[in-house]
Amino acid sequence: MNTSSPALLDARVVLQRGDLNLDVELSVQRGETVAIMGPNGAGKTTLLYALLGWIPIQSGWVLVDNDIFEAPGQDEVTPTRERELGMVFQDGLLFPHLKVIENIRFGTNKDDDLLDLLQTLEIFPLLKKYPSELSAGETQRVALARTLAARPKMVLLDEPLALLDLSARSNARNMIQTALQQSLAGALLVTHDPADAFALAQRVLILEGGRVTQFGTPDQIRAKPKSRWVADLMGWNVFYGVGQGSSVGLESGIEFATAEANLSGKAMVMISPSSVALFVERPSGSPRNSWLCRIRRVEYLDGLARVSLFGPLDIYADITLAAASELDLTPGREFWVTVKATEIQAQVLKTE
Amino acid sequence: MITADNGLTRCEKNVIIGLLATMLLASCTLWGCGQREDATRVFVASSMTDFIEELIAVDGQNGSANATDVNIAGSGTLLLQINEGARADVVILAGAEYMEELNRTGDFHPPTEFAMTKLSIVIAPDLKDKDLTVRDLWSGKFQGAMCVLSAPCGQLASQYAASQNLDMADLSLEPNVRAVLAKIERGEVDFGFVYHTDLLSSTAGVAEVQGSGASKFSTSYSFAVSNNLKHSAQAQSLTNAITGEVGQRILEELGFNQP
Amino acid sequence: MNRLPIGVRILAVLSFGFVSLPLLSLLWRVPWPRLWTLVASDTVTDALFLSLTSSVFAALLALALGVPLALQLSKMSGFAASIARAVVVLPMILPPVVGGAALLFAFGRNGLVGSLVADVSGVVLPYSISGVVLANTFVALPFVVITVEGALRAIDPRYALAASTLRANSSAITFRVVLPMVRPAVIAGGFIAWARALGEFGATITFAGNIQGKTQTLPLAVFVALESDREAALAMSVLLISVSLIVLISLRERWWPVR
Repeated sequence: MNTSSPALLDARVVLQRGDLNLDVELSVQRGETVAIMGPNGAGKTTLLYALLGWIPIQSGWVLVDNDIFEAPGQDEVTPTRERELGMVFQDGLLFPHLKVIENIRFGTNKDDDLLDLLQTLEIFPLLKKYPSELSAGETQRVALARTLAARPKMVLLDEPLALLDLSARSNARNMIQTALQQSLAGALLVTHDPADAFALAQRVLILEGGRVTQFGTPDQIRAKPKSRWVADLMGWNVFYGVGQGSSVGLESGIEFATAEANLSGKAMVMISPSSVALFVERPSGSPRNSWLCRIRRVEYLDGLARVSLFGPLDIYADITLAAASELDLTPGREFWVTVKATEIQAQVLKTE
Repeated sequence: MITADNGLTRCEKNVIIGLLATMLLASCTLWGCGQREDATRVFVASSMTDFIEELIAVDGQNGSANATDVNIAGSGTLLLQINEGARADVVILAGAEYMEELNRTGDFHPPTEFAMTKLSIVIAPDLKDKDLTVRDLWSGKFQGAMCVLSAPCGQLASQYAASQNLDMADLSLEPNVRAVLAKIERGEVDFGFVYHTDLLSSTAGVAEVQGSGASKFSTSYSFAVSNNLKHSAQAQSLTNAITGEVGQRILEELGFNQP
Repeated sequence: MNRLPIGVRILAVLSFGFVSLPLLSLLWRVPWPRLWTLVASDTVTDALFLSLTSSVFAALLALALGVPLALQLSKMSGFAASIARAVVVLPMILPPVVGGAALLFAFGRNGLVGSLVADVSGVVLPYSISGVVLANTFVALPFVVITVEGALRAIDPRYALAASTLRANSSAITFRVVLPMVRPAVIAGGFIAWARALGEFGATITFAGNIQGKTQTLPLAVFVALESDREAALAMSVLLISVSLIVLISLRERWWPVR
């Protein structure tokens, strides 16, 4: 804990709640958006509630803008309403008995100017409506406006886009981005959609089973997933085997050569589908990491072909459409599958 | 969904079971499960409660009170029940008017008067040393109570009031004489019209207003026997007990007078 | 539209018949040609006026007392809450007459609190319209508490969290969020309390007495008349039923918690 930290939020949250054993340390810089991702039950929402002071923490600290809300040896815990943290709930949670404008005005001073906010979030046509008359997308915009109108030092968003359909989503995402930039507040965004996380956040925190498994920029996460869950999320190929020196051997006898050294014991191998190359002839220069596999299925996605192969290795390869048109990707055909050793992420698994 | 053998879902079965149970319950209510049809049914005016209970307790050994169902209510209510078809073998009512009405149904033998009691004005325990007269009670400082006019005790009180030129509008009309007495005993009202017998039965220290002239007004009790009896022997035995030595002794103990 | 199983529909019809049949039979007996003359008497108009005023005041008082109680109960859990809830609901279960007697012991002239109040302020609650309102409130209060607390517990607690993050303190959460959200339940509770108070008999006659023009509400007047003048009693019942039906039908959704 560093009290002179320039971070907007500096917190360590330790608490036990049911099956969940949460121990998270995180920071958010001024104007920064940090996304929190993780499987269900990882403690994402609990973490937000703890930061708000809605769920008590058992140890750790919560500092916002150098105000100490909770810290070891401090008896007095700052109540939620004095924390100046805004919260946007998954379902918006607008007050059903109040019109949109009354909802937005709930936490504001009488003469606060909301013009820019209402314009950015396109709320003017909704002002006189009741929450029950709004669509899911409109509800989330109003919920965000209500939160930002109270001028919080920081905004917490709990899956704000989860209930929106795909078409409304990118529009809402853009609005949230603009609104967050305008408000200059920091934000913590819980989401399960990597598209939201990577579009809105400068850093992404991966929370699994109450622990942080990775905390880095979207590029870092994309380039080097550190856990099975993230690798799956990115659509990566994941294998388990036994590490020895720089290689990992699978039960099937397949051996991966990696750029790592000193691997030993149980290890996980992660390979991005875009790092997997297909050749009709066996490549001559690179004898390692080459296997003869058969095509099972081909899916054409946005700008690329995703090829599912089987054989000694079950693996996905992402091929550009140009490359795909040169190759004859008929199911049943055989191809040489190769991966550069430097493109293979290998990681020793902690034994517990 | 789990399907039972006969093709009904468990949910539908529950509904059917519920329906059957309801039918059973309804038929029970309408046909009278558990009504003791062989018992002699006695309808008793509420001011006779003590008497009939004691009579049954004392005379029970003789068998007269065996299998006796006692229904206690105000005389007016009893009449309403009988008029609406309730079966009564023996009816004990207060006041001659109600007896006449009962007679008009034609279902009963001519009544027999067996006791009478007088009207009393009674004051609350904490007023008994103040030596109050009726005029004092009507000075506006005191709250009074009497029976509703449909009860014989209420009729007596209003006859008394008419004779004395007293305005009864501010008195609370209680459902029966027991309620009047209870309120006087607790001091919730200052005075009230009850029967002399109730005054005697009270242990709470209430006192009678002397020289009020209320004792000139009295009501009589009589019984009538149904002329459509199923168990005439039992009913006969009960009426014999009332008019006989046992009944008269109990009446005297309770402070009733001979008619 | 999705239809209910036949069994449920049959039961629904039976139960509606069970409720409406006695009411129809009552209307069957009403002396319609003489209705107006019977209803226009002083006794009836006094009683109607008294019933309407006292039941409205009782409903308002039950709301004023019941809503804070419901708020408190909704925050409580565990054994203490179970006990508190059982005590609050007791007046619903208690025979109203017992409730009236209990009120006398507490607020009567010689009651625990009543004697103190009488000494200090000279106000005596029984035998006054305040007594009627108090008795009605006593029996109507549980209906408000149950209705409102049920609604309070159904509110997502995150609404309070949302309000807190918008800088609302506890009174803002209560008055700007929670209470407005349960407004339909508060209104419904008020109407159910009013309906209960309008028909209240036992606690009123026991606690407030039965003085014509002062504490004799319509149900009390019906009771008095039932034994002396059946036709008048029926006429008053029709009046009571009509007034209630007019109010309940004209306010439909406001008292029946639809949605």
